Amino acid sequence: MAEKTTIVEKEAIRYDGLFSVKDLYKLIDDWVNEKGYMPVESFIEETVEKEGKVITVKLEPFKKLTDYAKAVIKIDIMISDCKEVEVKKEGKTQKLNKGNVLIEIKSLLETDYEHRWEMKPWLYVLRTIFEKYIYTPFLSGFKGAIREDTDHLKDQIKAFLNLYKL
Amino acid sequence: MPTVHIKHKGVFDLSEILQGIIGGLEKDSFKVHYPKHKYKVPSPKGGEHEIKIYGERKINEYVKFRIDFFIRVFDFKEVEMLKEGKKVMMNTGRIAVEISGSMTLDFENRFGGNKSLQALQDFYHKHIIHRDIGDVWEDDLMLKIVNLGKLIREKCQQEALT
Repeated sequence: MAEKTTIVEKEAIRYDGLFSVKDLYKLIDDWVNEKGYMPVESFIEETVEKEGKVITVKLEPFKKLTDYAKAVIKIDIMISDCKEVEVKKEGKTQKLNKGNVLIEIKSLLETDYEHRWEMKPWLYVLRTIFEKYIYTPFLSGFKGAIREDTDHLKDQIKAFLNLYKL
Repeated sequence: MPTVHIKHKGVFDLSEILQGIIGGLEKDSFKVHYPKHKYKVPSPKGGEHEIKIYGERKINEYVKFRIDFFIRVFDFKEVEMLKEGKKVMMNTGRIAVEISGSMTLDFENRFGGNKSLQALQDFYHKHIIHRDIGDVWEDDLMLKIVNLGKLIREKCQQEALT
């Protein structure tokens, strides 16, 4: 099995109030494409309940850094009690959503995702030595880049949601 | 290859979703197959559909893509609704769509003969077309699955996300 190292532990962004679901999703989608990640949407659910819509989205965008290492960012979006409201802003009527948002972001570094080093036991041992003594500077570079990407995404989402508070 | 799961509860148009899937596959030059469609009415809540659709496409003489759709609909009912002033037939219920993809190499089994041919195939995969497998075809198939997922979401009228 490919080895998965958690780079950024699950961190949550919570928001309650007015926002646009469509724009929030577009922001994340644009960020994923801009940063060169493969936009994998592993689970999407939208249900209509009495209190409003419940939207659950699980995204798992990944980026192949090399033939050996892959960056994976797990983004779980949970929106509940989501209702459509009309808001007047600067004389114009805008259609927005009102509800609770919970976004959890976790990032991982997956090594040997092609399972090339686990075909034989001696290769597995060699891989451990390779990772520990030869590939370490590259891996720490990748870890730094993934951490940076994750923080950037979190900041973007927080800034986006904060705009609606103004 | 990751599997994409889409779930929706509320109003939708099942025939439009199915047409969307078929249209999306055909637009991308996939040959569409319909191996299963089961319908039953187990409770007064509504009917249940179980539909399997898959599309196959030969990318070249050596590589073939296959995209599978497994659609399940629960509490399925037909309702009449007003849409832009016109009466239209829609459906209500819960729908779950699973999209998965696979890539077959050497689908004509050219290297399937003896051990030396298989060793040659191994070398071909590992050293000659290795980049094409991982960076071109796999990514291409994944993008096709993602785009079909987006299309289904649109057809499911998941308004908030599309």
